Amino acid sequence: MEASIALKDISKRYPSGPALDSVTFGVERHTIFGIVGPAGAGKSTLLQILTTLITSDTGTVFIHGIPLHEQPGYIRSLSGYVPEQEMLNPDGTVFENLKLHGLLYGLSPQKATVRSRKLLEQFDLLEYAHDFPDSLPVSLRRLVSFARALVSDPDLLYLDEPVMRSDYRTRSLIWEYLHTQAGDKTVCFTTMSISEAEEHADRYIVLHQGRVLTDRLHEDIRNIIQRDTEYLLEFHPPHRRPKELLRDMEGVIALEEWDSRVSFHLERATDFLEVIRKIGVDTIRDLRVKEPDLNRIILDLTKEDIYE
Amino acid sequence: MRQLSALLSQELLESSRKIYREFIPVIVYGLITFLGLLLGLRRILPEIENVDTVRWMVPNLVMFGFLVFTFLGANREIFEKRRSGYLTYLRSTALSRWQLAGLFIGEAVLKGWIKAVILLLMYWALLGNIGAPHGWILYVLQAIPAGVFWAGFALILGLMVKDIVLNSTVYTAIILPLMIVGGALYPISVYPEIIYYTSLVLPSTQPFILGRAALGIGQWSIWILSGMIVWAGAAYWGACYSLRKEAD
Repeated sequence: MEASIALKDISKRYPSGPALDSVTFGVERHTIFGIVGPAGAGKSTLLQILTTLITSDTGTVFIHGIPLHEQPGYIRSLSGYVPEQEMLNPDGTVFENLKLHGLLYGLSPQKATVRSRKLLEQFDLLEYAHDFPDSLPVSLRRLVSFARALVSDPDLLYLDEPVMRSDYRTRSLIWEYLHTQAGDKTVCFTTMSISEAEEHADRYIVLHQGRVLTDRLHEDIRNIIQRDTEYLLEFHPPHRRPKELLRDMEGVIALEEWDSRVSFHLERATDFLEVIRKIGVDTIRDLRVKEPDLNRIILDLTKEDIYE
Repeated sequence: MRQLSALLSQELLESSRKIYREFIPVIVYGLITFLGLLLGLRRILPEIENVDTVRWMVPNLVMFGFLVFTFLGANREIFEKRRSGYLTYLRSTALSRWQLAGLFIGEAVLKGWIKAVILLLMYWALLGNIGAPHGWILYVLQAIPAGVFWAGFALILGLMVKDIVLNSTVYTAIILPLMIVGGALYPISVYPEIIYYTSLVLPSTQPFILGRAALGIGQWSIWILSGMIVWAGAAYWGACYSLRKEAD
């Protein structure tokens, strides 16, 4: 598959220390690509380089085969960027924020108006069209920021922690859009959650301290997350029957029991649906899935020679 | 061009929503300086450089208002855009740094001139004759490089100095006094020779000399105008550079 984005030996150093160290990877056209890493891994720096907000110290970025530093203006015109902070214009209304984005990317006023209205409608934001961003909850501001980036219909969409601080509705609207309507776009998103990358990315890399982890370690992390994920269930009374079923179930490990609650791990994450089916959905009052902390896993695994 | 005009229209629309914030300081400035001009009317200080004091002071006060409001407007806008992150968004769009700097400077100069015209109209209403209209047209044209310099300088300061308190200290402790001693309240000919010649090359002096000269007061000089244009070019370049470096 043809590469849409290719990074070769990208390094960036801040006065406080190195942010990226010889990062090399490629993103195929029309795919959703994830960059996973704990806070301070260099994810946002990477996106800022791709959006030309900052320059790398060494290395080259190619977008559709064009070196980024040769035509930054043209490449910006192909890109849509949703930053970690929403960065909306606080003095313009939601509608004005979207329309101005369209105008800045060369749409006619009529087209910018139509597209802005369509996106506001699509993301259930029409009722907020004349509100100022600061009056909206953070979750809606993130949705506005996402919608704004789509007004220009960009080829490349860079999303920095797109669903961070978002409620369930915003999360589902954003992911649903990316899976169903972003077919002709190349999407690059950052996240701190491996499960988010597993679920939504066609492919992803793990960044740690500015370096890309090897595929081997990548696989190790995936296995650890699967093994250490803790499932917590609370049952409606009577609690005895579901507990008994769990005790006898294959693949359920480290089972612990309290009055109405149990916690356990699974040998394979795919067994979870089978567990629910066997004990019956009706018996469950509350369900929580606790993933291990990505930072901790990476720290546990971080040894020499783990980087690509 | 269409992109720039769209952004400028949006900026002006936002200013019109906060019109009190834009124009109340202008009216207050006009009234306070009018009280100062009454001294001239009462003939306490009848003439400066062989010209009636009021006739000498009005172009300086208009220029001073224009420069201060242009500087403060540009500085405040860039600070607010930086604080909200909107500036980073604008830098990620298809607009180049040159276009963005041009737009921010152009907007500040335009708003500064609207305020200067309000001041001029206030002086005209309060004092009567303030000089020939054709002189004022030349005055406006010559003030553009000065406006570009001070707006560009305000952008550089707003982008480079991250601390808002330090930023305003630079303004009150250095820039404002520099403008006042640059010939807004009295002619630079009162200085010792070495300071006088140094003042001639400073962007805090040149606009006042050029402004008065446009109205037939003092000597017009192509060298002073050229100096002002060079300062304006340097500030524009510096603003573009600062916009490029801001996120690094």
